Amino acid sequence: MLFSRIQIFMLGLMTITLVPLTTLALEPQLPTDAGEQQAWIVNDYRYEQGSPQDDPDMGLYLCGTRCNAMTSDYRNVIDPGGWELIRVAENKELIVELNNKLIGGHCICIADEYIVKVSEFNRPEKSN
Amino acid sequence: MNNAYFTKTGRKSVLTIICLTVCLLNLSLFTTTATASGKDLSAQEIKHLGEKMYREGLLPSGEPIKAFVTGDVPVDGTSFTCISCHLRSGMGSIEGEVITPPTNGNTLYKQRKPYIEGSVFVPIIHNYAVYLPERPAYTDETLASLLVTGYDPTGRSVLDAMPRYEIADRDMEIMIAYLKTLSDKPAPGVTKDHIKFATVIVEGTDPVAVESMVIPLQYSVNRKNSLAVASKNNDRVARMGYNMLGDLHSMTFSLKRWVISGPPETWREQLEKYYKEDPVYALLGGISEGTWEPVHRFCEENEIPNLFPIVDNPVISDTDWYTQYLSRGIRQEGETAARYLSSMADLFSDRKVVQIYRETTRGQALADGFRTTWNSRGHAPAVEITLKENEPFSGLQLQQIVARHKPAALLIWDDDKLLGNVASLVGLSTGPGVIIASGVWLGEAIWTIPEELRGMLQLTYPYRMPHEEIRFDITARKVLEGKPIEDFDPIILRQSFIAQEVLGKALMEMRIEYYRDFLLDTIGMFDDSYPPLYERISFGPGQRYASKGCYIVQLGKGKNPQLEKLTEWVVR
Repeated sequence: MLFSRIQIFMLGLMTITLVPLTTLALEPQLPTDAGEQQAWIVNDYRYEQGSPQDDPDMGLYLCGTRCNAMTSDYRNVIDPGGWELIRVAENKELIVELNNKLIGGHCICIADEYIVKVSEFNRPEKSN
Repeated sequence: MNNAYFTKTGRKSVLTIICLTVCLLNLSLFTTTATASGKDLSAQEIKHLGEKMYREGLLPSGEPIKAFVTGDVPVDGTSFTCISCHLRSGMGSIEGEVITPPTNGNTLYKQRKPYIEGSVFVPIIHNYAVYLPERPAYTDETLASLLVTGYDPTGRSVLDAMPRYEIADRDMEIMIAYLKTLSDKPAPGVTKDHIKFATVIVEGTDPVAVESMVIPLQYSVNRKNSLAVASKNNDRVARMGYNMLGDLHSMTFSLKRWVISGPPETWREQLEKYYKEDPVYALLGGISEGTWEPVHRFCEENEIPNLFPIVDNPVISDTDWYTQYLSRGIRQEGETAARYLSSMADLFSDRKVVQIYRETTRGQALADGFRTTWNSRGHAPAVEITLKENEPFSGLQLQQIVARHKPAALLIWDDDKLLGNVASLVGLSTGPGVIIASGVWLGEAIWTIPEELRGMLQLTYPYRMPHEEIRFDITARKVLEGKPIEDFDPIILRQSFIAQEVLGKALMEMRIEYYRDFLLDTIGMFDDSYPPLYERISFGPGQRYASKGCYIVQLGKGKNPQLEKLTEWVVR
């Protein structure tokens, strides 16, 4: 046996006290009803004009904003704890409409596809 | 350094009287060559003049303090103020690998040992001391010598980052007298074993909102008190608690509800009464559906920290110190809309921007946020159309406004009634290029935006995307201890969660030195964090609006749509 009961008890107490005093948590219960979610991390982008009158520089600029907005910040996945990002595809080309009456055309966002799911490793029943 | 100065209390009284008179008439008349003793100044004058030197780098004469860095390079003392590194409380800071030691009298006039007594085994507190060299207690003479020469009483030169100051005797005495008053005694509401807090509730606020604000705070207080009780009853828990929190582990907290009612102009008196009867260390949270100004002023004038009140309209100030807000409130959405439109203004040609808003607190805050930011970027002012609070506004009227002004961009700051109005613009070939509304004001109505409007209506949204936020549910649920989350306001619950989280972290890092300014200094040194609700919150010395960003979003297509980000987290 690696640890005696007393050591395990002490370890438990340490865990409690190591958490900031105000965040002493109840037993975690990861919400599984959230299911798997799709997430993207964008590597590149380009703009495709709708007509020759569309300003390519402004179009590219707006596509930069639009495509970068798709990127998930990994801290939003990691910080809550118990979730993982799994890459399922690389450099997918996604067509994204600008939805802007002042300029036509659309964006091509080149992105890696991920799914966000509950981490099996961190499930409470597995970690106990 | 002329150390004889410190014994000059017996100067001729007539000269002293003259100098005091001059001081009272006009403080700026003081010069470094004045001969009156700083000890003749009142505590208030020492505070006033000392603050100017410490915070602004200005001598009592109003001249900048002369300073030298890296040996003999002269610099303006206003660029190298004490407060920049030692912070407002004087309790020091850690910036990268540079540790700036405390400079308050309590610390300076005690011997520095390579450990902090009472917290030898508490890493978070003890680590601070290990990296600082030992030194004897300062005296007035050795402290003055340090400021001028850069050498401490052991003959060790302090870091080059610390300038050497050219401060004459009399001004030096004021400076030293000021340092002695800096963080010199425990704040009201703090005793050896207890810290008192209060939360201000404006009577008439939605009870669900109030409970959603209070429950995370009360949870935090209860948990802390449980640890204190367990520590008293169980030596092992006490040891563990001590190793983590030092003396804080055995301290208890209390949280009072200060309910204020009536017109805002009467709140101050009520707050003063509460405070006089039972002073507290800090105000936690707090909630108002209207103004927060009287509470903000009360805190400012009594020097009481207020952490994260739940308000739509915080007081906007670059200099006020004592209230730390979650964000700039709903006006932040208007500011974000301005920055977003500004980025595409080249597409507008000569077409106008039209801003329609309700003459309510929310409408005015949104409109003002947009107007201030838009105009500051050099754009022609937007055409503004106001609607009285209950004034009917039809789709036809909106069509007429659009036909008259032909705007490139249209902002409508209103509640969910705007959806019906915007619907009247569907299919209009001469309609605005971009239409923006407030996501917070639309509230749950966001999810009812009809399919045909989703491509044209863009929303300001100051929170994390809801489908990503679900991952933080577990964090927010902690404080409910089994109570159904549906009974609470999810946004307020999360906002208040942040308040107790930040407080807990700050108290742990304060090394048992519970001075009020140090609480805010400590929070100001926190790294960015990713709490529930907000994509990111950040702090800095004197920064008082933690979440600085906002998204522009639109509702996606389909029966179960998600919000789609059109921009990154647009930061102010």
